[in-house]
Amino acid sequence: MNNFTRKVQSKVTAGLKDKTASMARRRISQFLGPANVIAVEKFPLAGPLHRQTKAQAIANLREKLEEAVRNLENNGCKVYRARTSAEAVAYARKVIKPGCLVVKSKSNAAKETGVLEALAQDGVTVIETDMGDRICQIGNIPASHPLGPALHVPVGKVAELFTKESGHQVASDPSTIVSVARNLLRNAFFQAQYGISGANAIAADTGSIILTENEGNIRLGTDLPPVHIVFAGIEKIVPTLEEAIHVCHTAALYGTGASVGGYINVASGPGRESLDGPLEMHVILLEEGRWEAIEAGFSESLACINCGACLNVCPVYKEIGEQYGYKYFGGIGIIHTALRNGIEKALENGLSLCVGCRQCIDACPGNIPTPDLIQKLRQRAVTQYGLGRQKTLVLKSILGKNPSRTWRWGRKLQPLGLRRTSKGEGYQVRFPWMNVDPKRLLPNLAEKPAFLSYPKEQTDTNQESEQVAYFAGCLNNLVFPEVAGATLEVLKEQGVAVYFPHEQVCCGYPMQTAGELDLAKEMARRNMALLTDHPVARIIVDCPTCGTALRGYAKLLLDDKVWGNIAREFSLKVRDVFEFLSEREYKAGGFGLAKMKGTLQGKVSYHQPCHLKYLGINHAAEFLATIPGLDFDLANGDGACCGFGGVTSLEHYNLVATIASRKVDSTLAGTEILATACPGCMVHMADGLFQQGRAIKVKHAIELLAESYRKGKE
Amino acid sequence: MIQEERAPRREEYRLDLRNRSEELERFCSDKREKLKMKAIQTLEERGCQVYLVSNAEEAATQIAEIVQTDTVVAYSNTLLEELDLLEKLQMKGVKTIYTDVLARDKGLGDCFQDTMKDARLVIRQKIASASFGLTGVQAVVANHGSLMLMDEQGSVHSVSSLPDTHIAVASVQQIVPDLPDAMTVARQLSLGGTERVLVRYISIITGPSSTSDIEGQNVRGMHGPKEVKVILMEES
Repeated sequence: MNNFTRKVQSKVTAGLKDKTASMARRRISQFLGPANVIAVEKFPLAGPLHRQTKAQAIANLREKLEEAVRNLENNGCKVYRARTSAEAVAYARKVIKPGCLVVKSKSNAAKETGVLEALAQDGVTVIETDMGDRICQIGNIPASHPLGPALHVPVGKVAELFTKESGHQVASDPSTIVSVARNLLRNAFFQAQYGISGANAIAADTGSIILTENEGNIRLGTDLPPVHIVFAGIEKIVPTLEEAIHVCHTAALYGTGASVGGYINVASGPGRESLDGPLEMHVILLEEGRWEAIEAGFSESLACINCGACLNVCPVYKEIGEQYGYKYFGGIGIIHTALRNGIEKALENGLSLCVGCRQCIDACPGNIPTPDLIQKLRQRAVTQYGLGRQKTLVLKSILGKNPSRTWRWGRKLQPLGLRRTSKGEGYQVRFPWMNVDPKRLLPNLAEKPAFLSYPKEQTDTNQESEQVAYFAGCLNNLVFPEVAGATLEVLKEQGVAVYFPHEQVCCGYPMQTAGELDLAKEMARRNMALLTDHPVARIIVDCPTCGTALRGYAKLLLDDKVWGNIAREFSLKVRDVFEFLSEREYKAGGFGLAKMKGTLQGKVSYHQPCHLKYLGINHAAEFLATIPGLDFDLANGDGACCGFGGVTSLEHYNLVATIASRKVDSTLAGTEILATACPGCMVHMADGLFQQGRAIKVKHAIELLAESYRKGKE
Repeated sequence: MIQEERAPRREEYRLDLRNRSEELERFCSDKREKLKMKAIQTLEERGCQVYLVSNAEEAATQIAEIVQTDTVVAYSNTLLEELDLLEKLQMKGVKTIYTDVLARDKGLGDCFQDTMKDARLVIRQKIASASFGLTGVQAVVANHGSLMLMDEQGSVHSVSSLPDTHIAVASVQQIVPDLPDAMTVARQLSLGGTERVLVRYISIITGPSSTSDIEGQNVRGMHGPKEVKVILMEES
């Protein structure tokens, strides 16, 4: 374990320990998650329009930045372009006189620069005016969520804090506390010499700062003090006022589920000697890391508007919260950190944590491909710091080799290093030096793997049969040959001629997520060479993660002169087995009716693998629903990730195990079989169930379908 | 030279804006009834109380009924002036304070910064101690239940923020479908007055101020008003 891993592990442990914060986060995601989805559905154009706006703004950033600066200055603002955080802080310290009073509203850019710490040194009193931030400030309590920083603080504690703050007894009830806080803070608004704010957007064409909020603290904090100081990253600039307002609409929709926030404030320059309005307005535009992001191919990350929608669905953030990230949270926070504060800071704060479930992409109004960008950063990290011993062993010496060799050696070594569990659920490691958690249930290498059990080509199909190739993936090949068998059986039942090349290697996804791109490319080339030597119409996978990898070969080998074109064609042919079946049955004229199915028994719950969910493929559940006799409930748990996370699980087992335990807890009562459509989920959920001593069987949905076909024939 | 370059562009901008404004006006007058119903629905959904009245006289009566013996701080804006609403209120015996008069009394506008700071403080405390703040609006956004207020160098901000209740007077003719339409109105109204494209301050208000920061419970009146009452006039 290297230094970075050790630091991350201590953050993970701290995050897992903080149960109150975790409960607050779950509460927020429970009421915000569904509310957001409903709200977003009501405004289907908000997301697409937002993506278009941001893409254009970032593509023309230099030009728009100049226009914004010009118009802000025309409006009477003093604009300062800060290339680094240090420059921004130095400027702010020049503007703000020592010993003064400052009212501050939420500003991510200000937090990013570290200006508050610097002002404290100057004897400047900074008062947070957002209620949640204020609670955290006076109680010296770490924030638990970007939108509800103090949600984990019980009301009694808040009352106690404000009793101390006001010098009067404050009753333990939210409305009383709010009115006390209102009066205290109002005084601060009236007395403060400076107001610090961020910006939700900056309109280049009108030279305006646009801010949105619910409490009203931003309105007062930016308009009452004589000097208003804005901290904003240059990525907040959009071409027009209308687009800036749209950013606010989007932020409210995806952040809180309301179509707009309580207030949208458009400030275009300081006022004159009037009652409202600052007399001086300073706009500090922070450039640090932004140009680098664009140049290094991370411009998508600049579409982030900090709405927090990604955090509500992130399985890692749900468990460890603010520990995942540095100044910005979650996966996107790690990306910002890497580009603004260096790859080392990103490594220390959780570059290795993303489990690649891809739930955040759909939740994000900008559809930022956070997991892909994280992979790119990991690749950088690997170039600089290497892969580490454990990952090298797993990726290069086990997964990177020919499966027949891996299986042969694995079968020999398995009994030496591993111990069979008492009831035979699987294996656990014998020795602590093996760097695997001794509690972890490891899968058993099959006695007879798929490549030894099933023929390469089927001989008994007729000429007109549809030709497909089958990619089993390491797990179905070596650990669950029965799943591979079921898939082959179902395909045969459907009258499809299947080509199953035995020399297929790992899909390359684990290497890709770990940042070991060269090896991933090698795997891709080897698999493509094998699978394309037969004229097949489709490439069938029954592991969705392998599916993601195979579909991604086109992108992975985009620049490869020899393989680029082949990969593009190849990726288009990839289908999940259930996706393929439903395509066929649809063509045949009736969904789920094409084959006779026999009656099965048992209460089955279904876990939707993340790598199918993000593609919108839900056919496995639909097929299960057509099997007669099964007590099948489509709605199982909260639809969350099981937490397997491939390479993440190697280094952070305590994290992924906690995520799995949630999955197990949310499994419907009375479930006898937990079905899914991914061998990775199978391994991890089996471990989760084993840890809690639950006697639920885990099966691939294709096994149930094959069984039902078999019964149908009898 | 810069001026020369800008002049034709500005003309183009004005022309384009005029076309857009006219188009918007036509659309709104065609759909007035629909927009009205939608606006009332969304305003109420977002926690405003809506009072539908037929004219300025009724509006004054309604406001007098709301205010009773309390004090109103009013920000005089064109709508309020055109309607003679403030006079009508005085006739009904409603105690009103104009921020304009307050500012003039305190010598705001023609003094040094130091005294100005004191003047601001005194006036703000006065506004904050009133129970009601009365303003007009520049637009009502039907899709979201929002009110748009504009200000160049006045006090609409303090008046709509500091008192416990904000009374906004709007006319049905001011309802526009969506936020970009409100921005068209804002751009149009900003023309002429200054060199700038926009007036100094635009505020879009949707419901009363609120917070959910304590145990997730929604409480109204965090930093702004606890209540927003919208007096919607059928004719102005």
